[in-house]
Amino acid sequence: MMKKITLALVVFVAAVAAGFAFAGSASAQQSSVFSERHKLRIVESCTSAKASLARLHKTDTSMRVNRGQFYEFIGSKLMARLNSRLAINKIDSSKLIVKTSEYEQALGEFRDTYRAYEEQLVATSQVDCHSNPVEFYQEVAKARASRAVVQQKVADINRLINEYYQIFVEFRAEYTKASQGVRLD
Amino acid sequence: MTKQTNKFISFVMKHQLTALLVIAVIIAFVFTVVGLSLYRSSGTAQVDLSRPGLEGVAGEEDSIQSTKNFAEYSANGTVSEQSLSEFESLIKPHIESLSKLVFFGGDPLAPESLGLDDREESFEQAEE
Repeated sequence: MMKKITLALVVFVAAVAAGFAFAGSASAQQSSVFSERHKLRIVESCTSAKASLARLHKTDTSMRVNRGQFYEFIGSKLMARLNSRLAINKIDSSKLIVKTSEYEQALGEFRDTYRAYEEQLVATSQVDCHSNPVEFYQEVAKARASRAVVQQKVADINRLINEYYQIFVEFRAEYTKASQGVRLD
Repeated sequence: MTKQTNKFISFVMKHQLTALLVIAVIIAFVFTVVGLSLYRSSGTAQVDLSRPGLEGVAGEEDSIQSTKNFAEYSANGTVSEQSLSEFESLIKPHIESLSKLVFFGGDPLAPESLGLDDREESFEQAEE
């Protein structure tokens, strides 16, 4: 029994040690990808890069507030209102409702991706780029990827607003046609 | 009741004010933790312009545009040609504005933009 426990302990310790060794070598490998010249370049540009990050944080925050308000307005004060009005008048607006639902979902994804991006940007700003240039570079790369996702979400939302509008135009044309038919009858 | 419970109750009865203060502090702490976690998880933090580092954003000219002046569509009323054209007149300017402006565009975090790239010429420029 004691032998089994000892063996299990040895295996566990060996597995943990192997894990640490692998992580260490991976980190060392990542670090070695950066030449000394590149690291020096990062350190030299560090102060100006951090200032740029701070400026970007400010401009993106105001953009987030503006866009957020604008998208909320489009969703709740225009789309939802029209859907509601059509529903009250017992007019089939299922296509518009489906598109509004997609829009609301995309808006939620925009909020989530922006939050992830902002947290990453703040985390990047907190890295000491003088002592950890490689880590700083990698964090900037992560923030860049997060920002690209936000950009994609904004494009999705804009596309959905356009699609909603196209459906509305079609709906309006059908409504006009139908109401003219009723008048002719 | 056990002897220990009795002891605890008599201890609390003796120090009522202290116990009240401790309970109040615990409740305040719990509510603060819940409030802060909601503040972070709901995305409110991202639109809070009073956070450190964002001072002045709200005051900058034209930086924050309110939607208060935008005309809203009424959810009540009949549906007619007029009401549909009213909706179109409200949404169309916003649709047109979408294609004019690019948001979160460009690539300001590219290594080249921040001067973090490894190109030889940029390194030489930095050395100069």
